[in-house]
Amino acid sequence: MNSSDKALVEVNLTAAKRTRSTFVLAPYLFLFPTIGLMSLFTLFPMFYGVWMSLQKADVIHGSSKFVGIANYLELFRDPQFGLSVLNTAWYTLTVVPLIVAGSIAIAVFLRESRPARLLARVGFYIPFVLSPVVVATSWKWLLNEDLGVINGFLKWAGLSTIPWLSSDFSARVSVVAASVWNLVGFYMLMVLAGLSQISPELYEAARIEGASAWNRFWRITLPILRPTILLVVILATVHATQAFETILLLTDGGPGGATRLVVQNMYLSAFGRLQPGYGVAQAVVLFPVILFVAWLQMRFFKQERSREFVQRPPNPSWPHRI
Amino acid sequence: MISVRSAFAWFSSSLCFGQYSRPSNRPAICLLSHLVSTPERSAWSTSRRFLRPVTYRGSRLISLVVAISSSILTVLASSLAGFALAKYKFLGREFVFMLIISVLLIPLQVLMVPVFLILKSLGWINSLIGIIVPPAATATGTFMMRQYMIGIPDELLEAARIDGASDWKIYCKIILPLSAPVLGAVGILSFTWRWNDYLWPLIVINNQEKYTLQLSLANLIGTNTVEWGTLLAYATLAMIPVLIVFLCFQRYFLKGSLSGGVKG
Repeated sequence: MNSSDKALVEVNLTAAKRTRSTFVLAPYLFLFPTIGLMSLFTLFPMFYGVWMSLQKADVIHGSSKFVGIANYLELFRDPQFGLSVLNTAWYTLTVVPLIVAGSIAIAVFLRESRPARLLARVGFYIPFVLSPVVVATSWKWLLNEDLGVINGFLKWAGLSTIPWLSSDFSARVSVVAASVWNLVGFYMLMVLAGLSQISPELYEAARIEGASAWNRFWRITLPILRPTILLVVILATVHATQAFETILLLTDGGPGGATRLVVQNMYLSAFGRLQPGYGVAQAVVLFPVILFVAWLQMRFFKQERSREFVQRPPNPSWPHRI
Repeated sequence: MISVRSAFAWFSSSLCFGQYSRPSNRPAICLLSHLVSTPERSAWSTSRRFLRPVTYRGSRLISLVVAISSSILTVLASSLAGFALAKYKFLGREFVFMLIISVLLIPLQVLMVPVFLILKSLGWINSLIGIIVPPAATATGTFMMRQYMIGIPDELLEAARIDGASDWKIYCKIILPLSAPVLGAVGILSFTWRWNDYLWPLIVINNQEKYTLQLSLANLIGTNTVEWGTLLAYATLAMIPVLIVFLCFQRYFLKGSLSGGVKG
C-alpha cells in the first residue's frame, strides 16, 4: 500500500465519521411513512378490533359498555352467523376445486396451442384486472331475469327461463360462476409458469415409450406441478374465505341470506345493524382461519425467498390491493 | 332481442362517451345506433339523460385525483422504505421486513370496522384524504422496491457518500433515477388498484357528492329501476383506464403474478 492509498483510506475514514450520525438515523426516517401508516391502519386496528369485540355500543347515547365475551356467546346462538359460516364453507369447497381444475385445464390447453397463447393469456387475465364493481355489473346484466343475455338465449331457444339471482340454488350457482370467471385467469398464469419448468424431453421420452396423452398428463404433468397446485389451493382458499365485494354487489347476500358469507354478515352487523362490537367478534373468529392459511403461505414464501427471480410475495388480495 | 340491443348499446355508447358534450361531433357509430335502435332505447339518449347531472363528471374526476395522487404517494413511501431495507444495516431490519410482509397477509375485510372507527376519530370520513393516505403504504410495493434496489451496486453509494452527499441526496440523485423501472411498475399497479378499489371508498365515503366512479356504479346497480344503457356505459367508463394500462403494461401484471407461482 503506497502513501497515496493510505491518504485515501484516511479520507474515507473521516468521511465515514462525518456522516455517521445521519447514517444511523436515516433508515428509520425513510421507513417512517410506511411503518407509520401500516401501524395506524393495519396493526393497531387488529388489537383495537379485539378490544371492540368485548364492548357493546349504544348507538343512541353514543357510548359503549364492556360486556366481556357476550358477543362471542351470541355468535353461537345466532342462526344468521351459522348460515354465513355454512355458506362460506360451501362457497370455498366449490370455488377452490373449480379454480384448480379450471386453471390446470386452461393452462395445459393453452400450452398445446402456441399461436393463440399470448392473446389467450391476456384474454383470460383481463377479468382479474377488472374492478369487483364492473364484474358484478357485467354478471348482473348477463343474469338479469327479464332482460339478461342468458335468459334471452334460453327464450330464443324455446326453453324456460331461470330466475338466476332470485332463487337459492341458482343464486349460489351464479355467485360461484362469477367468482371462478373472475379468478381463474390469475391461477392459470401460475400453472402456466409451473408448466414451463417441465422439460420437453420428459414428454418426448414418454411418447417414445408409447404413453398416451392422458397418461403423460397424469404421470408427468401433475406430479411435477404439485407445488404449484398446492400454492394455487392455498391462495384460492384465501380468496374464497375473503370474498365480499363481488357477491355484495351481485346478490347482496340474497335471496334470504343464501349467498351471504361471513365477511358480508360481519359488514351487515356492524354497518347495517349498528352492532360494531358484534361485527368485529365475527372477524376475530374468522381470524385464526386466515392466520393459519397465512402461515401456510409464509412457509411457501420462505422457500421462494432464496430465489432471485422473486419480484413480489404472493399477495392474496392481488391486484385489488397491492 | 332487448338484450342484444343493449349489448350493442354498450359498445356504441362506450365509443361515443367522450363526445357527448359536443353533439355536433358525434362519431358515425352513434348515428348508427340511432338507426338500429329506437331513439328512446339508444344508449346515446340514456347517457345524455342520466349522466349529465351531478354524479358522473364529479365521480370521474374524483377517481382520477384519488388514483393518481395515491399512486404517487405509494411510490414515494415504498421507495423510501425499500431503500432503507435494501441499503442500510440497522437494528431491527429483519424484524421490520417481516412485519411489513406479515401486514400483507391481513386482509382489509376483517379490519373494516376498527379502521372505520379510527378514520372517524381522525375526522377523515367523507374526505378524499381518508381514501388517499391510509392505504398508501403497501407491503407489495415496499417488497418490490427492496428487491430491485438490492441490485444497485454499493460502490455507487459509497462514492457519493465520500463526495459528501447526504442520505437524502443519495436517494434523490442515485436511487430514484436508477430504479425507474420498478418505480413505474409500482406506480402502474397502484394506479389500477386505486382506480378499481371499492372496499376502501365504501368504508370512507358515504356522501354521494364525493363518490368515486366505482361507488357511483355500485350505487346504480343497487337501484331497483336499472337503466341498462346507463349502467353499462358507466361500467365501460370504469374499466377503460384499467384496460388501457393493462394492455400497455401487461408484462408487469403477468410477471408479477408469475413470480409468486414459479417453483424451481
